[in-house]
Amino acid sequence: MFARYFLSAIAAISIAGLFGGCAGAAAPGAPDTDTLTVFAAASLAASFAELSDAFEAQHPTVNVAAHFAGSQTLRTQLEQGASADVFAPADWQQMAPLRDAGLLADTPVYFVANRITVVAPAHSDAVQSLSDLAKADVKIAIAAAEVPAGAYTRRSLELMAADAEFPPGFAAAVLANVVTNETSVRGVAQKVSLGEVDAGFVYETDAAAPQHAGRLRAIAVPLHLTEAAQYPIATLAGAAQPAHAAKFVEFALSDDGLAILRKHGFAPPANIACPCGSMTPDDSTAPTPALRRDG
Amino acid sequence: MPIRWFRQRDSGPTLGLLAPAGLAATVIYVLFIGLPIVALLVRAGQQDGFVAGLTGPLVLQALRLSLITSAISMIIVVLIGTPFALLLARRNSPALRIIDAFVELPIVLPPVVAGVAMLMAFGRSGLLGPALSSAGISLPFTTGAVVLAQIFVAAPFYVRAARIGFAGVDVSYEDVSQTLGVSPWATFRRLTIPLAWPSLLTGLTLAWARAISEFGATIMFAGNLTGRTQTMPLAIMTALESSLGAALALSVLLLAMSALALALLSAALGRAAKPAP
Amino acid sequence: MNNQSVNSQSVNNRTANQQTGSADPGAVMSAAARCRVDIGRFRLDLSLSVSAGEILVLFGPSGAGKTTALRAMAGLVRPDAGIISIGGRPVFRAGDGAAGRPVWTPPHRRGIGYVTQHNHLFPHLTVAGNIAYGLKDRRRPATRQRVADLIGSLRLDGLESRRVWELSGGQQQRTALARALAPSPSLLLLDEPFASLDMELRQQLAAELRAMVSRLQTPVILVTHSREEALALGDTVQVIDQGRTVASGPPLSVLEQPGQGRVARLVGVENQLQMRVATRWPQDGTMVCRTGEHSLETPLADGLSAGDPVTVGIRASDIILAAGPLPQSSARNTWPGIVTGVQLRPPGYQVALDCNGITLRCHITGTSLEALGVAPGRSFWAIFKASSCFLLNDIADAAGQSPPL
Repeated sequence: MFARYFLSAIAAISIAGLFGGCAGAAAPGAPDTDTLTVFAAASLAASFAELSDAFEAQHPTVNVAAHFAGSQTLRTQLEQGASADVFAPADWQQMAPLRDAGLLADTPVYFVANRITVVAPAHSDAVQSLSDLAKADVKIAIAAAEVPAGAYTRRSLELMAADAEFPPGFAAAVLANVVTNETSVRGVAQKVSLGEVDAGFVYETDAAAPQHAGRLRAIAVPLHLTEAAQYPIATLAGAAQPAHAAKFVEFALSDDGLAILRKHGFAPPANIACPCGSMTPDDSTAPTPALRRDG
Repeated sequence: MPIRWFRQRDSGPTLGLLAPAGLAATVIYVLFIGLPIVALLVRAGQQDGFVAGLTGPLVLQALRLSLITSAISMIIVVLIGTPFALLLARRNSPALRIIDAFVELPIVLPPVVAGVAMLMAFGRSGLLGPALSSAGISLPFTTGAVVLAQIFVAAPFYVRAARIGFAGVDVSYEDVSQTLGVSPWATFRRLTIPLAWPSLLTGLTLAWARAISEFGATIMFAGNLTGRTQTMPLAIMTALESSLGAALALSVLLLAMSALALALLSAALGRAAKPAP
Repeated sequence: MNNQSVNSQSVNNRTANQQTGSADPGAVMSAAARCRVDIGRFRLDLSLSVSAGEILVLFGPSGAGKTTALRAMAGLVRPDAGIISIGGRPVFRAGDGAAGRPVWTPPHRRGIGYVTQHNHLFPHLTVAGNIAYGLKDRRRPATRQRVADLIGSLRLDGLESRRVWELSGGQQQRTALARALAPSPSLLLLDEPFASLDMELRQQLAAELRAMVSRLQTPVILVTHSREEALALGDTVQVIDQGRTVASGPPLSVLEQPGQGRVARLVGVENQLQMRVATRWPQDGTMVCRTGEHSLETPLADGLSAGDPVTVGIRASDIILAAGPLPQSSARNTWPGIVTGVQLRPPGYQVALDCNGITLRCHITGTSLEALGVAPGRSFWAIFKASSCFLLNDIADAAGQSPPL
């Protein structure tokens, strides 16, 4: 008898707590706002926070709930049934499976580009130029090959190895100096910022991040030696707010949106059309109608 | 952890009163903890590349590194943690009480923060950085750093259990042992350790499980380099970025190892508690 | 018999005669102490001596310092001053003044056996494992034989591989004793060894202990607060109270008719009456003492005259409780009273009898309690012989037994 009351009491309290929590999260403050859920790559965190504020200013009835994590994690969550309105991963590889699974409401487009750059601690002179990366006893942090930044880093090293400006075996020498393959590109930036390594390969957005201001020194990689990471964006089929979702994507592609994104180190994409057929990276260079934006 | 040398008592009146609640709680608990683990195993079995993932060179390197580093960590934890726990259990000075209160701090510290803290202490620009580098020692991004990170997060589990175990050994036993002509060191070896053994073993197993699953502090302080600092949890996180199959394979392997360790522990504890025939 | 002081000359002689703490056949085994232990505000002035084959009983109330005395002998407590010697060797000597160079032998080199109040049998070992614990080379045949002998002589046969928690109280006690005896100690320290046992086992084990001590000739210091145990086992009884020795001597003289009020209370003289001498009867060897309207006959004491204050002691077990006044009895004292309380005091009951303002405590068995129908409110007669009454001196006279160091 006692046990039954005891358990029902616990159940009642827990259920009340759960629903109470949900209700509170759904409508903070105003009761008649719509919540737009945005899943975005971790590297977009700072820029999307500002983008969301600007969007909310234009659409007072919309509350943007942005959720940032690794693109692969977000993709897995969406595949496992998480509900969101907009998805913006860091590369096409995480977008394509969703399109193939019919989870997208419209055709994804590239809205922003990011490039790999080399950074060194501001107060260290161990690495002054790209060629210093191959010197003995230099410690380098890069992202793991499995994450997009790591793939772009290795692609960039391949381009350097093929370039006449660099000596033979340059890429191998640089890779031999790698002391850590971080599972996130922010881990690379952090270790350079802490001065624990002499250099690292990060996105330009990471180099521009305010938390590293004054602590990182960028060593630019010539444009022809990098391949831009192009970020796709799309609305999701299960969107609770399809109209707002479309407006958010539109805003991200607008001049106002781009201005905000550029402040955070992003570049405009080479083209906005995403590859149609397969999900291999090479397809991103496949001939597509180039809809270049000015600037 | 109570000493389990004595026979189990009858369940007592409290359990009788709460038996239905106890049963319901058991079902809820087992389902809640068990379901995700079962799901992981089922999913891993279905996943493409599971077998390939298990036998890949990356897995073997990570497994080898995890076993070696956790073994070294545990040896150091036992060598330093045991006398430390004994002192905490047997002495009661204000300074020791303060130290005692902070022993468990690494348990509540988020592991990544622990890793940052270790960089700030032993890193190149850390507190001891100049001293270490003038001695020609560079700790971050080495296998040694993996061991240090494991010790940092795992040692409290052992020290706490050992302290409770030693505190549970009545000093009078040690007094009697000495009057029988057995030296203090031999008394510790032949009496105190066997009496505290269940606690020591439990603490060591928990510490080992914590060390072998350590991720945050390791990636912060030791980085992630195959064969040198990429232990199993780091390999899992890395694999998760590309192949779920390999990640699941590694996770199942880690799970199996921990399950084996826990099974060995309960077998050992059961034997210790079992009366002689 | 005076065991209070240690003759330093004899200590030195024994040192010359003896080599180590082990019980060599023919070696003179003895122990002596004259030391001071300060624990916080508690101070123990310990002064004792025990020789081969002798059982010295330390008797006193809880907190008197008895256990501390044993621990000091064992080396588990370090005295602040004085000297302790075991088997003729000094094992402790304070380095003060003319006493010579300081000496400290740690417990494991003292060659002692110590049985604590709660046995402290090692729970991770079997009976045989416990007994063999203090022996060297535990795998040698001679060692196994030693264990087997002890198991035989302490009647533990068949229990060798039992875990200690499977044993009865008496078996545990005998195992603890065997474990302490195994390394052939030159001094055996027993702290309330039989406290947790029932009366029958207690007597049986006490007899076994006596036999064993006289066979092995090991000196024994035994701590107890049981008068019966002290009487049954002690060659010498030393009464300790608040860290001081207040009496010492043969058990009968110290415990049965203690001469001092303080000792009397300690050893348990339940009835102590403040009276005055009224009439002396030298021809009978008795005198009459009186207080208010109560009077009783006691043995005649010298140096007292009519009107002198005395304290009369009567043991509860010396009082007969009767339904009537027993007119045909030789007992000289017969007081009527009403039962005010009955208390269980193993092995019997203690009855409080209010005799018109003075409460007498009498000891009776459970059978008598039932047969007489003793219950609060009922009337009975307390009957006791004149020779059961003894005079207690004033506390002030008791000082000076053991001068502090």
